[in-house]
Amino acid sequence: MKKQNTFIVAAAVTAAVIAAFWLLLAAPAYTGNAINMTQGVTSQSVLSYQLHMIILWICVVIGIIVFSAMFYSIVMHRKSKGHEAAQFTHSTKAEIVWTIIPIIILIVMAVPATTALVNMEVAPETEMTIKITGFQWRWKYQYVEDEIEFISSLDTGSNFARRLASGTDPSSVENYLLNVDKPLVLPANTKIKFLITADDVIHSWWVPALGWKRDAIPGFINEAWTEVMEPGTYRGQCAELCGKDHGFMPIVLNVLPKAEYQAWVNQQRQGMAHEQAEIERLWARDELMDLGQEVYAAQCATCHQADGQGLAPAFPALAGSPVANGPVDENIAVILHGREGTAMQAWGRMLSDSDIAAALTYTRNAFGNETGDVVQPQTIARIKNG
Amino acid sequence: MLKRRTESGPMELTEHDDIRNRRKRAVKTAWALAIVAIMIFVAFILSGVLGT
Amino acid sequence: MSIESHDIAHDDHHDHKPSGFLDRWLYTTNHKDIGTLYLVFSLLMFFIGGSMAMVIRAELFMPGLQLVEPEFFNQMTTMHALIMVFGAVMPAWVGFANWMIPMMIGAPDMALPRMNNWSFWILPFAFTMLLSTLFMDSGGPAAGWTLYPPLSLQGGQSFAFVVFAVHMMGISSIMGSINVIATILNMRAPGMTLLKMPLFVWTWLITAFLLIAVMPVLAGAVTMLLTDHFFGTSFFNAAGGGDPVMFQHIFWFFGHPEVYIMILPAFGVVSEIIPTFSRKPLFGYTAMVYATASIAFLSFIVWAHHMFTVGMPLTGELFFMYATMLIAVPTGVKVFNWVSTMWQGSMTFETPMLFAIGFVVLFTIGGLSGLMLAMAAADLQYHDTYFVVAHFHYVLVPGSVFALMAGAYYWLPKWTGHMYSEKWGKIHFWVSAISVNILFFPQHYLGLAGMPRRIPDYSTQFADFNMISSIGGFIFGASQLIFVGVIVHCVYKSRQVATGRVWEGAKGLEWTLSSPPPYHSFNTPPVIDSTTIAHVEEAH
Repeated sequence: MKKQNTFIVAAAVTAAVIAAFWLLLAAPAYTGNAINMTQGVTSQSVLSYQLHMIILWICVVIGIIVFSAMFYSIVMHRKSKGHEAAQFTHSTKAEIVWTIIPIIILIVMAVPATTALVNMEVAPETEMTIKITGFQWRWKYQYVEDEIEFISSLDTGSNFARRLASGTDPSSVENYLLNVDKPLVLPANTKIKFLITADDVIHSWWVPALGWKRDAIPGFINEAWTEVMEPGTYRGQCAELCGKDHGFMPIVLNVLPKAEYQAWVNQQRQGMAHEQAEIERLWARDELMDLGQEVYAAQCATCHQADGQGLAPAFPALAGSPVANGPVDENIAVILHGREGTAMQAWGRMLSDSDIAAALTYTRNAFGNETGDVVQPQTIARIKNG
Repeated sequence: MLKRRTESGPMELTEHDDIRNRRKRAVKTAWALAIVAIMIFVAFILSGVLGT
Repeated sequence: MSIESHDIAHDDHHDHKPSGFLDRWLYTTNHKDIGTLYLVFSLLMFFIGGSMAMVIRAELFMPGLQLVEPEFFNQMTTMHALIMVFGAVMPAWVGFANWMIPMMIGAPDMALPRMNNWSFWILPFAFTMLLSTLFMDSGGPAAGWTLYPPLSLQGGQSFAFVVFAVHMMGISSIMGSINVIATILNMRAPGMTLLKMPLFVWTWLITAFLLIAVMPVLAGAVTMLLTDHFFGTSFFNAAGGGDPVMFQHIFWFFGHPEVYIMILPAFGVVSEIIPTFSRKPLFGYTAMVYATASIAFLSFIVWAHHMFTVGMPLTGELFFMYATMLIAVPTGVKVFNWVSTMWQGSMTFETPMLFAIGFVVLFTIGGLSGLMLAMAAADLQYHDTYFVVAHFHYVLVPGSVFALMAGAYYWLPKWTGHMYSEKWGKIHFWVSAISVNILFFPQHYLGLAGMPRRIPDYSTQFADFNMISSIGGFIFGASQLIFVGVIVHCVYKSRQVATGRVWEGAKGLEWTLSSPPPYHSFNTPPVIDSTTIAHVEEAH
């Protein structure tokens, strides 16, 4: 009777454990969620995927062998079955065998591991260069040859829905937290060199489909390379903790066929020429206020909040602030150069002169601030260029 | 001194096993380890100072 | 059988505990009382750190931010790790060392009892200081337990409290380790040679050397952070000519041995428990000792595998990859030896044995994912994702923490003189073992599918597994209350008296004492003979 009970308990526990593992392993099939690394779209991502699969299967096989021996022993060599304990204490032969075999497995493993690493890290001759700079909490992309540059931030939809208790259901936002205002546009089938650095703290630039991530470290320039085989949209995120909005600085790659990419470059160039003209003309107050409100919502409101009240203690209020209501030159200097030792960044390197002028005009005339100042883009350009 | 019979024959406890001597040796061990710890700390700070 | 030929007058007062509460606990120099203090303290910290984990899992239950601001979320992840590593796991092992090492080697007490008192009583102050930062204007540390600059330098004034708290923890650990080494090297009973020591004593001896080697390194690193933050130095500040990556090298030179500091005593405890309940000597004792020593040695030359993405030279990456892969060999030897100890035994499955078997299985899963992470080319994908989170929680929770629980159930009857409730112990095991897998297994999937770690909110494609993981987390968290219940019952309520030997198959000097043992364990050094100790030198 007693023995039967033990058997029933043992069977029930085994069934529960197997069911739990089966659920865990089978769950993905029902939820449709990915559970494994994907192959990606570069030669590097294929290498890391293959290496991952080899080592995964080796681990699974080792696990099965070890655990089978153990569970066989647990079932057979138990006191309740009347098994007498043997008294051996060691076996030099066995111990040598299970030291040598893992060493052999490791040596065999080292071959693909080394090949993959060498092939991933050693860059071939590249055709174009992109400089990536991480900021808290956005990415800046500079096309070195084509002289295009822009900032890429979390898109407004996600940015709105992600606030604490925002009342917006994240599943109603397309690509929630994985979408940006301006994606990085790259040509397909082109060998591209990345120069990766950061301006404030360490970030890490990661698009899983490319097969690697690389830290963006202030004071250092890290090199990496890629060649995307398939045009398409690929998404990633910052992978190194970089402060409060670490979870909200996604990366979106828009990979175009070469011809389309060239068209995009031309279009950007025209846009830049237009922007230059915009900086040189005189703006009306309302124009500046409208653009300023947009810029403020996209760039400033994360810290200083939509109502300009800030978020104590790290992020000061702009409403009634001595800076926003003080001499305009000092205010411009803070915006352009940031404030050392705080989260306030040097926006001069990130935003266009028009954007900065508009944001300044807006913050000096909103939230109850009434300086009446109108800051023209050309003023900013003049100060910036000394 | 204390004598004991054990399965591997008689075993004599010497001056070396006396609890007071053991405690003295323990204090020496402790100081030696403490000095090592402090030296490691200083070495790493110095490596930072000299490195920059 | 051996007999003492000269009888020694027993100390009449040897079992008199101090009567006043302060005398007994605050001024205590007794290894058992200090051990109890350490264990109670670490249990408290386990629950404080655990409740922070519950905040984290609750926020990650669904996409979108429902409960906390991202800044506070980062403080929770940082504090959870600092508390669990320095407040729960490490002091718990020191507690075990205090209780068991003198009894296992036949000593009356630790070698330096007053320093022992001091090394414990620093801890409550250190953690009060650390936790107090959560109530300060500039908030708790939020840069992760790794405290990478420049991010960690963005914290406010409260950062100084964090640094000093780390200093105090470090001093406490170093003093504890000095005491352990001084005790093991000088206080062993005559005849207790090094290679007769129980494996738990061996693993702690090696752990203590690791601690003395690396805690000063951490102290140096945080001191440099302190001066960078408050005194204008530029050790790690790129703008001032410093090197932020150098901090990562120094930190992980401490950090990798640190993770072995948390696991080696666990190896020791499991190597005590499995032979007892298999009624069979530990298989390959000498190999176990050498394997432990090799793991400790290797821990000093693998640190940069935490930094494969910082942009090291290729040769550096290859070196650290190969060195890391090598760790699999001694670790494998250990796992094979545990299985061989069980092989052909006569096993019973009391709670300590269940936790020890749970340890072997789940620690091995964590070890295997560690082997995957060693592959630098694949690590460029795994790094800083939930795959890593799953990996180190497998080796720390069903690894180190399960071994702590196994040890607690194993020696609780010895410590208290009462048996705990076997039924509730088993319930505790099964609920913990199943929920811990529901908690951490899906995190492998999340990481491989691309979810970075340390984020308060995530894309909707990660929603299902986060919810499963959170549910597992809540069950695991709640099931630890059973553990507290079992302990309280055993200490205050249990009527079932424990014998001196407690377990049928138990061997070792601690089991020759009464349960509970006398206040001063061995005033007269015990005679060492093969019938009482667990391990006798192998005849070759």
